[in-house]
Amino acid sequence: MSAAVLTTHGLSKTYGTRQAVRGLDLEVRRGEVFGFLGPNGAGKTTTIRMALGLIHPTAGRVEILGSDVQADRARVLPRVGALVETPALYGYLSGRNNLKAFAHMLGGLPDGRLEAVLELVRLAGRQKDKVKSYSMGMKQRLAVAIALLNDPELLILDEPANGLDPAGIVEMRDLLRQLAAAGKTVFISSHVLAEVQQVCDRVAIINLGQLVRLAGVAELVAGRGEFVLRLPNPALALELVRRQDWGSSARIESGALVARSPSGRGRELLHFLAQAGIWADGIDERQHSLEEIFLSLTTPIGAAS
Amino acid sequence: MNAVAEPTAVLPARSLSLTRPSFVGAVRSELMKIRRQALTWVILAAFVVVSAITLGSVVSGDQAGKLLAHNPRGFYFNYLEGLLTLFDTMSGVLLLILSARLVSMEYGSGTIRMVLARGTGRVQLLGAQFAALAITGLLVLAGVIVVSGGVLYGVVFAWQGSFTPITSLPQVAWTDTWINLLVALVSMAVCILLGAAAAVVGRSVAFGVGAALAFFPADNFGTVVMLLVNRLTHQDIWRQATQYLLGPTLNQLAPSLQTDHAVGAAFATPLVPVDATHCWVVIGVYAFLFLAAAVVLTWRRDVLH
Repeated sequence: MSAAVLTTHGLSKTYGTRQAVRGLDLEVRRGEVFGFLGPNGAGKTTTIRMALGLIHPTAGRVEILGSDVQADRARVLPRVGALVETPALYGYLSGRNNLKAFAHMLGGLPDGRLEAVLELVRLAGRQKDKVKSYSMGMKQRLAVAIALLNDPELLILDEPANGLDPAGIVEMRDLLRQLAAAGKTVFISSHVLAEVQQVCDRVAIINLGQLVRLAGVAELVAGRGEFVLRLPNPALALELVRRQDWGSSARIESGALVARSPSGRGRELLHFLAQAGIWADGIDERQHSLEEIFLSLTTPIGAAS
Repeated sequence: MNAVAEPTAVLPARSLSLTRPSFVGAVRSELMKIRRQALTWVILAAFVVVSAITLGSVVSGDQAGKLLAHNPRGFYFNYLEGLLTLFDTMSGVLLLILSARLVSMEYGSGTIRMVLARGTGRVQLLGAQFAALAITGLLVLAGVIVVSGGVLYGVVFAWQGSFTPITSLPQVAWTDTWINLLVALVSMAVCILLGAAAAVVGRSVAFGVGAALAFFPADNFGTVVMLLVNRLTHQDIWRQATQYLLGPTLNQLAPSLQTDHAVGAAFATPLVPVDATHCWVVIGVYAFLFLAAAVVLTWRRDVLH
């Protein structure tokens, strides 16, 4: 069986004269948590809607579990659990009856299954209450329960942290980790970059409908041979380092010296400074946050400041 | 999520992921949505109250007693016509509202995204909604037949002390009963199609229900407007045009089929004579247009909101 669970081939969508998605090629592998990032209007939700057969692509196609979504949706989509944008539920039905409505559509599920997913999202105690009385976080959790109803192989979650308070975001993160640990493939679009950095294996960043970067999170955030040194007198150290061929990019950030090492190893940098009588209080390899990477790839030139 | 159960403890057997969208399941789901709406029961309660008052006033007066004693057939036809008018009006309101709400609610609340994303086809969902509405209409019709039959036999027995006036009715009375039943079924089908078409075009509960409910009053009133225009302009085309209005044509269907005795339509009828064939063709064309609009727009339009 192919390792690819979701693949897009030259996927494009045009609304009038506006190209929302342009020739997008993605591959999400089995068992990974895949982050899908982009600024507002970048084409994330449009891509997800095409993946779920909600809108027709202008060009290209989406394959899920080896089958074309447009051609074979009835066979493919039941194996996908999805949460698209805000949780859309039947407010006049109870939480349990919302699940029942979707369970009926899927041809019926074993009796215990509703209880199991309600337990999983911690709504068992409120299952008989009408959904219109639920908080945003509860609705979000119920929508996740609906997505999990028939144990899908792939979960597509569009902004699952929307409307959640900090505790809810932590709960959602833990749930995603549990699902990933259970072998599910999770495709997640989110604005909460710190969360994505913590839970995703790989991320794709799109801007203006185009893919601008696809890489592993570890690879993206890895430092490029730079070190952060905490020193009693960083200005003096900076002056010294900048005189070296390898030190031209050295700078001070948040009161700490950021500099490359002559050999690429931190101890060489410490040795160099020690020879000059400068003793560091601490040293770390510099890592980029996903937010920095995201902004550098999606902010128009000249707008960064 | 500390309180969340271990996924391995709640995730089900692989057989769950073999579930497929089912038409019968979708119909069950739609029936549950209809049954759980308070508005359904409010309209049905209003139906019962209005029917009880109207039928009670028709059968309890001295005139009714005298008519039953001297002309049981006339009494029966009066009862039947009153019942048909009442049923067409009340079931029309019920089905127009239910149909428009059931279809547009999915778009208005966004639940259409969740439903389609689980693999249920657009046209399959619409078909399930039609089926659920048809079942609802048939259940209401069956209830009305049982109750109105009981009332009829009860009233006859109360006035005459026996069921003879009913059991000795000529065959034409039962033929007209079947014709009235057919007209009621046609009227219900047209209301379901009209409500669904309005909902699919507008994709909002307010537009769907508003347009569906306004249609029949508008085209019944259109007959009056066209008569006025005819009198002002002396152009016969305005009178001729009334034979192509849906409401007046539906009102004329029962009288055009019942040739044994004169039947007056309760609401507006075409201003020119029309026969049963003409009525069938006009009603059939409208029904086809409503169905085609609902199916094509459901099938082709993207789900954006």
